[in-house]
Amino acid sequence: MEQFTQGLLQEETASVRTVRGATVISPRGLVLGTIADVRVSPKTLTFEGILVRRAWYGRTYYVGRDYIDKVSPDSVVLSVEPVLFLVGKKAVTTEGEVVGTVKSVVRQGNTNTLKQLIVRKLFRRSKQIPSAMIKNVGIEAIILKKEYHA
Amino acid sequence: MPDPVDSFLTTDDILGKDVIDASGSFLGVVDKLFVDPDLIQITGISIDKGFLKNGFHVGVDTIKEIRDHAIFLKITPAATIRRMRVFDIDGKIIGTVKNVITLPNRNTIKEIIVKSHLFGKVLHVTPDFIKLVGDNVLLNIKKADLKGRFQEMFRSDKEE
Repeated sequence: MEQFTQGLLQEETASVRTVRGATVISPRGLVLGTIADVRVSPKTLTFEGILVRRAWYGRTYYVGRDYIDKVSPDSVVLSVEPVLFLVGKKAVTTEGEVVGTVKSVVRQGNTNTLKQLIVRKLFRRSKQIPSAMIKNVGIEAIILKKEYHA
Repeated sequence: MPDPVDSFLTTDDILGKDVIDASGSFLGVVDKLFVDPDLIQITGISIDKGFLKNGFHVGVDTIKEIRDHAIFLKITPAATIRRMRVFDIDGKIIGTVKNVITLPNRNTIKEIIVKSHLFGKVLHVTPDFIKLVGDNVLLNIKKADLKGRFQEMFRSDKEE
């Protein structure tokens, strides 16, 4: 094949067709979804990000290239744990009391920086937990600091 | 003067409590206490994972703290790694953890048995190839390099 390039050769690049459908995983190995689409800047023609579909029926969300660590034809590894995936985890005090389940997260703009969690327990009102009150994020539970009073 | 007995815990304070491990996973509830009959000391607790699930027990030295609503462990039990997916260093899927072999009576992993997505074969992966265990298992080796090692492992399994 003839090639006309001053940059990478064709064999050093990945086809969008093969990358689509690749698994997206977080640094801790959480499977976040699959690539639904690859987004390119129309001005600079550079790779800008990916659209990730959570499940075959799920909504898609956009991840900018700043949050992407590695790309291969089979998978993409992110460099951050998306705060979006805190939804569904339980917020637990240092006493082990479950404050509620995370229903949504409030971020700073479109970044991955968490501002607060909105948690809710059955038959109770929602509570807002500032990110400063989070001690540790685990697989199922978010452990809150001692200073947090439910 | 306050009675020191008032600060002691009873079985009511422990049995039925949630158990949360070091990785923030809810393991189950405490359903038994184990007591050494000679030393009259609590040596461990049994964790009930729920209906139709096999529970397990942990030693008292793995308990970090007992709080009002839950018991926090210092460790993440190796058994929880079962059924986790295994990825290589580039994020390519290798397979699923079929079993975890630990050192006798310890939580230290000796090897993990991975059912490879390559024709359903089985891999024995030692801890030196494990980068981290989080939501799933991430190895520090590429799939292509593991395949070379795998051929040796598979051959040695056959010979056994």
